[in-house]
Amino acid sequence: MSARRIRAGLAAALLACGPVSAHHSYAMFDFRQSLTLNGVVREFQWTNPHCFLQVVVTEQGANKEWSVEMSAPADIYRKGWRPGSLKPGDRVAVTIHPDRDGSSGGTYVSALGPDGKPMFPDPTPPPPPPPPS
Amino acid sequence: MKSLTPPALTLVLGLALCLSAQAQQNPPERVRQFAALPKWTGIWETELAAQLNSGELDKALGRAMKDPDSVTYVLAPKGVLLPLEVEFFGRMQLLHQPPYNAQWLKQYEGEVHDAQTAPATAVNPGDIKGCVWGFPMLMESPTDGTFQPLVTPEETLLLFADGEVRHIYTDGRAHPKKEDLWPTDLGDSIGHWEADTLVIDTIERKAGPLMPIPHFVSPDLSEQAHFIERVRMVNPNALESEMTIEDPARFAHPWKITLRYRRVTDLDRMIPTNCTENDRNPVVGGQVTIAPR
Repeated sequence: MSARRIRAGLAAALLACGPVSAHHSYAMFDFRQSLTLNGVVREFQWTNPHCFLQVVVTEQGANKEWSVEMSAPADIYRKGWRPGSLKPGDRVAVTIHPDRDGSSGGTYVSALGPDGKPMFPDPTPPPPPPPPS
Repeated sequence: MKSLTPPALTLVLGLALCLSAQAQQNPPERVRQFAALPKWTGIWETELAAQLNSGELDKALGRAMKDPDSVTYVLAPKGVLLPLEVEFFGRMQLLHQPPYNAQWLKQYEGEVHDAQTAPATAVNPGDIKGCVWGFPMLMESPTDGTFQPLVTPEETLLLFADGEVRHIYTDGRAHPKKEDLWPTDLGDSIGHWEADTLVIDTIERKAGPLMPIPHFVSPDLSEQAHFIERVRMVNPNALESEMTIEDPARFAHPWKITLRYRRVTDLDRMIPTNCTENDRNPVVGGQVTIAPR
């Protein structure tokens, strides 16, 4: 698991609101696992304390709706997200760390938008300083 | 002498009244006072929030996840929080051990032992779902850490994204009389300027731990806690606050910490936070869950 992925999860965990990891601890998610949902946006909830991306995935002819928990608007706004960034019907590929309890939910890691490009990725971190000579 | 016509007289009187009203609204002395105040305009965030957002903590947080045993800070029973969450919160100065007196040091050590030995199940997940930080934690909040200062001659307001507002009266008033005060989450604050430094005096914070969650370890302050903050701009993009906490009922000596804030450059407005608008994280069977849409 890369540090940037950890940060994505931690930021989501911490930047919602309130004491201790903001709204709640992210121990509820399995950070050892990543899952990519290829599906269609049903709803993008631009709400506090968390934004949610509802994604419908069709597998073997059956639809399954996933609830992808994101950070608070105050956080993802800073990364470039806006309430209209995704609309119902948009095709997306959303990578998540799934719920530990096996339910159809998880915490947002990254997404490819309808154009197939990464949506508001973290800027490339600056290179590490050179080692001392 | 030629007298004014009624319309001209009306105009002159109107103008005089207008100028008089304007002078009352903004007398020269107040305009001068305003102009002399430091310009702290803009949105700021706590150092820890800035470090998280910029990726400066990636290495340390990654290490915490890879090697949980490397996290030695004790905040909660093991398993309640992710190792990286413990590592992160362990960086908050206000969560470190304060200079307790002997009696409270013993109690503190008992709390640490409790947190180290209690099972994760001892903590109700519902207890760690919270809303606002209160004072003084909001001054080091790593979450909802953005705030906007509004500096006027009479009062400085610190407006936080989560809706909390600190009113710091700088009009020369004293704290209300003891019998007219009651403890609140933010306490009662007055202040004065010493050159470019705002000196804030706060009393009457509600007694209790800074992170009031059963089996969690955090400093516990009495209602006698007295806070002095010296806030100044150290460069156009940085504020600094030297905070001294005196608590004669709990501490052996004053507790001094330095808090820093960075200017936020990627927000064009304050974005409010709120923990109840669409809370889809009910606690079910002792676990935080995501409720279906």
